[in-house]
Amino acid sequence: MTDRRNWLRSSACGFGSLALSGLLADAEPAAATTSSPSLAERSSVIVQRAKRMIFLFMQGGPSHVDTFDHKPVLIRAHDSTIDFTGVRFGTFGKVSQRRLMRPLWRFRRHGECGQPISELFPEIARQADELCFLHGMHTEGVAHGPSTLFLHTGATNLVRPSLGSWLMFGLGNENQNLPGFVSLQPSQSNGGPRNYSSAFLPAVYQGSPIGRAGLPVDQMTIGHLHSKRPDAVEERRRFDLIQSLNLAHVRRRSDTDNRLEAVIRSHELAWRMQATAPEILDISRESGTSQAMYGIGRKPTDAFGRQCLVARRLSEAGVRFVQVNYADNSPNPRWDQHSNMPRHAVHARATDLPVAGLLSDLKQRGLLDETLVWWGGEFGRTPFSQNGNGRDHNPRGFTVFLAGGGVKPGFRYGATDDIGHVAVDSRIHMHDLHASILHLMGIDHKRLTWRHAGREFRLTDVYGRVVHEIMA
Amino acid sequence: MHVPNCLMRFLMTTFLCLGLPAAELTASDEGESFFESNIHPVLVERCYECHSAKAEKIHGSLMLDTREGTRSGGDSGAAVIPGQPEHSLLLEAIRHEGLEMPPDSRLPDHVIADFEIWIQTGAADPRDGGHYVEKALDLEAGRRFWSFRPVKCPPIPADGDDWAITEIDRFVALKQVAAGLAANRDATPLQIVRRLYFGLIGLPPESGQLFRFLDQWANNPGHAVSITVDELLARPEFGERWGRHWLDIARFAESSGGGRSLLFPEAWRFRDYIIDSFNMDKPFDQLIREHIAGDLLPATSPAQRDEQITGTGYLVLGAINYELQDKELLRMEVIDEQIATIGRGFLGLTAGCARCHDHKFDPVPTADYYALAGILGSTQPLTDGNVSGFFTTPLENTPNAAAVREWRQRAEYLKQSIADLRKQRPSPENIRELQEQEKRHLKAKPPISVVMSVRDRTDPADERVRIRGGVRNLGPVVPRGFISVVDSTAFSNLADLTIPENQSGRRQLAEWLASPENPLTARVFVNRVWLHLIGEGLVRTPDNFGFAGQRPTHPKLLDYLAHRFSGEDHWSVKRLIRRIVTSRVYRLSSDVRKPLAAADPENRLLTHAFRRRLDAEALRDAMLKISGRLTSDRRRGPIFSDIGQYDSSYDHDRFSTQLRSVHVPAFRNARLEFFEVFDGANPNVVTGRRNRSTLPSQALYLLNSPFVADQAKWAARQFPAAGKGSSAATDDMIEEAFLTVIARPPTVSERIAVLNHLQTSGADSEESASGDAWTAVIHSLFASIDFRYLD
Repeated sequence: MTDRRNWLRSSACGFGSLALSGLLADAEPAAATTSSPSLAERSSVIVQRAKRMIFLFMQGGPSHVDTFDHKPVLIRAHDSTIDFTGVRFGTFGKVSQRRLMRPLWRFRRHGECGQPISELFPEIARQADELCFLHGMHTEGVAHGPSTLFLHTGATNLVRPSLGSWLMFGLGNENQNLPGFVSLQPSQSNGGPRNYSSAFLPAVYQGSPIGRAGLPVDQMTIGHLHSKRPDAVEERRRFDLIQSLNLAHVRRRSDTDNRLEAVIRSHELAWRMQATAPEILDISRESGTSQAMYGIGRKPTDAFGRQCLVARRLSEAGVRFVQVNYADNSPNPRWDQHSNMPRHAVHARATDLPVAGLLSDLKQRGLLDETLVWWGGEFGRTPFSQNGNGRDHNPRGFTVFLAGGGVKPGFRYGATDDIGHVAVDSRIHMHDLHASILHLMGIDHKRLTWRHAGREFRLTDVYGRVVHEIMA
Repeated sequence: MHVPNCLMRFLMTTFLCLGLPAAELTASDEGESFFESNIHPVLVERCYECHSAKAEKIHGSLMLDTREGTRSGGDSGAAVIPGQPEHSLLLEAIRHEGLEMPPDSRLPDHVIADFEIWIQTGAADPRDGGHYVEKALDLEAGRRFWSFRPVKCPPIPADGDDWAITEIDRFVALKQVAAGLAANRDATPLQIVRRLYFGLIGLPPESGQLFRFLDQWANNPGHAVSITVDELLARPEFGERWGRHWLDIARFAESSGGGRSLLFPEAWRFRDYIIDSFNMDKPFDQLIREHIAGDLLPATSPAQRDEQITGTGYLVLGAINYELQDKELLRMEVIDEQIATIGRGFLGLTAGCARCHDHKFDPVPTADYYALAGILGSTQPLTDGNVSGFFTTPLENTPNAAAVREWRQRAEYLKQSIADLRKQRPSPENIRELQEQEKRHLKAKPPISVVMSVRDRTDPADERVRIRGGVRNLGPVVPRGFISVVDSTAFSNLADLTIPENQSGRRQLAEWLASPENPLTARVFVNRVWLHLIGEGLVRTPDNFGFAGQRPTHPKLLDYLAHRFSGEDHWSVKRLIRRIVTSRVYRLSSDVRKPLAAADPENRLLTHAFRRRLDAEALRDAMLKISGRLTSDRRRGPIFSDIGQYDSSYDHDRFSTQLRSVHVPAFRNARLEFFEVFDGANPNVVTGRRNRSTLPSQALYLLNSPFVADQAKWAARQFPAAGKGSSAATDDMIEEAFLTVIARPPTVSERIAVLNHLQTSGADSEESASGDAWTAVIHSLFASIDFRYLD
C-alpha cells in the first residue's frame, strides 16, 4: 500500500522517471478468479536453451523435393505413375494415377555435414553447417487455411492460442518497452489474425502485427506510434494533462485500485514506446555493410531483407517471438505453385540472401546460440505433378529447418520415402515440433496449460513428442 | 428418453472396458518364452511410455503392461484377440494400417512378423495384474450438484430495516448481517444516472438529462430512478445495447474467419432481429425456440415466419472452416461448434468436452454429446462444395414475394414438364421449345432475399459415438436426446420432449431448453443480466455452471431471480433489468474505505459496487455521441458491395467511422481496430464476460489514433465560443465539458489544471490555437480514468 502511494508521488514528480518492472498489464482472464497455476509451478527442470525465437514463415508450402530433400529415386522414376489415394473434397478415398516429376533444380552437397541442397538456395547452402534439417515432418489439413492454423495454433478449426502467445504466457517479456510477440507483415488470409491471436489466453499475450502483407515494407510499423499533430511541446502538455487528471482521480479515491494505477502506467509506457520503438524499427541506423548482408537495396531481396533485419533488431532488443512472414493475402499464397513450379525460383531469390544474412548476422553478434530460428511452410508439395509442371499440397511429408538455440548444427533427422511423398522415418508431427520448440525454450509442453471452457488446454492438445534427438 | 440414455451408458461402458470375450487359451511354455524373448522387450521399450501404469498419462485408455489390459484394449476396442491376428487392433496399429503406433517410427518388419506369430499362436502372456478402468460417471450424484437441482423460489427474508428497497436487497442484507458487515453508502445521484444510461442504453447522459435527474432525485430518489429506467427501457438504443450483449453469447460475426474467410452477407438480418427482439421485449423462452427451431414453429403470417426462421441463424453463424476437405470431419466440427455454443450459452455447461470422453468434471457422458449430435446432425446447416457453404432460406415477407413465388412455380413446372417429355420415346418435338422457355425463365430470376438458417434433413437419424472424437472411429449408436443429468422426466411439458422418428428433435430440444423447469436456462441467463448491470455475476464464471465453475455467492438470490424471471415475469428481460436496477445494491458506491475493502476484498457479499470499465462499444459510442457524429444508420446489407471476395478487404476507415458499434460490420478476419484494442468480444466463442486488459496499445490508441483525435475535435466544436470571452464563460465551458464527457463537474484542482493548460497553450490569444487547446482538453478527458470507468 505504502509503496503504491510512494510510487504515485514519484510519478507526480516527473513522468517516465520511474523504472518499470514487473507487470505491464493488468489482464484479467475471462474467469477472473479461477487462476491458472503460476509460472513458478509450471517451470520444471528443463534447461532453457533458447531465449528468443524467430520464425521465417514460408507461406504456401515450399516444395521439399526441390529444395532440401534430395530424392535420387524420384529423379530416376521421373514420368512413371503411382497410385494415389485422394484426400480432398471430391477425391476423398478415390485412387487415381499420378505422374512423378523430378525436381526442377540440381542438388549439391554442402558444408562439412554434406547436406544436399538444391541450387535454389545458394546462400542458405553456405550456412549448411549451422542448420538442422527435419525431413520427416508431417501435419494436419490439406488446404492452406486449416494447415496454416494448425502450424500456428495446433488446431485446424477450433480457435486456439498461437505458439507465440503460449511462449509469452510461459516466459513473459524481456523488453518492457516493446511487445513480446510480434508478427511482421502477416497475411490477412488463411486464418489471418487468428494465427497470432491469444484466443482464450489473456489479451496481453496476443501477437502485435507490425505492418501487413500487401502493404509496402516502409509501412511496417506499430499502430498509432506517432501522433499526427506537429507540435511536440503541445503533445507533451496534452500528455501531462491526461496524467494529472488521472493521478488526481487515483489520489481522490479512498480505496486502492491497482487497475487504475495500471491505466497510468500504460500511458507512461505508451509515451516511452513512442520514443524507443521507432528507433528499433528504423533500419537506417544499420551500416551499409549490414544492410547489404540482407540484400537490402537490391530489387529481389529488398523487401524480405528489411523484414529480416527488423526481426534481428527486435530480437536483439529482447522481443521473445518474432515471426517474419513471406506472405501475401491471396488464397493461393506465395509458394503455392500448383501449375508453375519454376516460379519457386522467384521466391527463392527473394528470400535466400535475407535468410542467410540473418543467420550469419545472428552468429557474428553471438545471438544465434540463444535464438532459435525456424524456417518452413505449412506443408510441402507432392512428388508428382499437377496441371503440367505444378505440384499439389503435401501434408504427409515435408522438410523444415531449425538453427541456433540448442539444436544440433549441421544435422539432419528423419526421412520421407524414396520419392519424398510420405514421412516414414523419425517422423515429426507438427505437434511434435511444437513440443520440441517449447522444450528448447525451457517449457514442458504438457505443463503449460490454461483452463478454458471447463478444462486445461495446451498447445499440443493431448499429443506431442519432444524430439530429443535433434537437440545439442 | 432417459432410460435409453442410461442404458446406453451402461452398454458403452461394457463395450469399452470388456471388449470381445477373450478366448482363454492355455499358454504353453514355448509360447511364454517366445513372449518373453520377442514380444515383452518390444512392449517395454516402445509401448510402455504411453501405455502402462507408469505412463505419465495413459493414451487411449490402453494398458499394455498386463495381460488383461493387452487383451481388452482401450478406447478403440480389443487390442489382442488370441488366435486372430486379423482382428487384433494392436497388429493393425503397429503395421500402421489405421492407428500408427509407435507414432515416431514404424517397428522393423521382422518385429511385426513376431507379433503376428505370437497372436496367431495364442498370444501367450504370463503377466498378471488388473486392468485399469476409469471411474464411471455418477449421474445421481451429479443431480445433487447445486446447478442441476430444480429452481425453487426461496422464502423471501424479512425486511430488517429500511436499508432494503426491493426483495433483492433483503437477500443481500441477510448475508451482510450474518457476516457483521454494513454495506457501503449510496453512490452520488450523478454516478447513479451515469450507470443507468450506460447500463441500459450504452450511451452517456446529456448534461440536461443530468440536471433533470438531479431535480427528480431531490424530490424522490426512488421515483427518479423508476421513471428514468422506464424511459431508457423504451428507447431504441436499449435493444442496441442489450442486443450486443446477446451477440457476444451468440458469437455473432459476418464472416466465418479461419481459412478462406467466407462472407455472411445475410448475417445482418440476425443482428437486427436480435436488436428488435430485445426492444420489443420478446420473452426469452421464445427467443430460445426461435434460435434452435425457428424454422419448425407454426406462424400466422409471413412476417412471423421470416422472423422465426431468422432466429435459426444462431446455428450457422459459427467460426467454421468451410474449406476443410474432409467433409465428414467438417460435419462433425459444425455439430461440435453448435453443441459448444448451445452448451455454454444457454446452459453454462462445457458440453464440448464430452466429444472425446466422458466429461472429466461434470456429469456429462459422451453418450449425451452424441445424443445432441444426433439432433444437430439431423439438421442441415451446410451446402456442398470444395469450399462448403452455409444454408439459406428465401424470405416471404418481401415486396416481391408474390413474383418470386410465381417464378418458382413456373420454374418447377417447366422442369417437371421437360422431365416428363424426356421419358417419352422418341422425344417429342416440343421439348426443345420448352427448354428454350426454361432458359429464358431462369434468366429472368427476380431478386430473392434470403436468410442464414437451417432445415431438417429428410432422413433424421441417431448418431454414433466417435471414440476419442475420431470422426471415423465409430462406436455404438446413441438415441437422440438431451443432457441426462438434467432430469427432464420430471418436467411438466414432458409430452413435448419425445422425439418422433421422422423429426430431427430440434423442436424438442428447444422446448427442453426453454422449460421453466430446466434448472440451468433461467439461472444462467439471469446471471448474465446481473453481471452486465452489477459488474460481476452471482456466479462469477458466467459460462460455466458446472463443477469447475464457481459456486454462486448468493444462491437463494439467484434462484429468486430465476424463479421470478421464468415465472411471473414470463421471461421478460426488461422486467428482470428493472428488478435489478431499482434495488439498493445497484445504487451502492464503489468507493470503499479500507476496513470494508479488507473485510470483503472480493466483494462477495456485495457490500459495494464494482468499478467497471466501459466496454469497447460503450467507450467508442460515447465518444461518437459526445462529438455529435453518431448516426442512427444501420447500414444493413449493402455493405457487401463495398467488399471484394474476402472480408479483409473491407475498409472500416471509410465506412464504419460514424456507425454505432453494434452496426459496425463484424468480420472475423477484419475486426474494427477499436474492438481489437479494447477487448471487444472474441467472435469465435461464447463470451459471457469480456477480457478487461490495460495495455499500452490502448494508451497509444487514445493518444494518437485519428479516430479519438477527430472525435475530440468535433466535440470541441460542440461547445460554443471556445476559449473566448470572460473567465466566467470559460469556467462555464469547462464545467459543461466535464458534465458532458464524465457526467460530473470538475473539482477545484481539475479546473485549475485545465485553465493552466488553456493559458499555456495560448487560449486567450489566437483563435485557432484556442480551438486546439480546447480540443486537447476534450482529448484528455477521453483518455481519463473518469471517462473509461463507470463508478
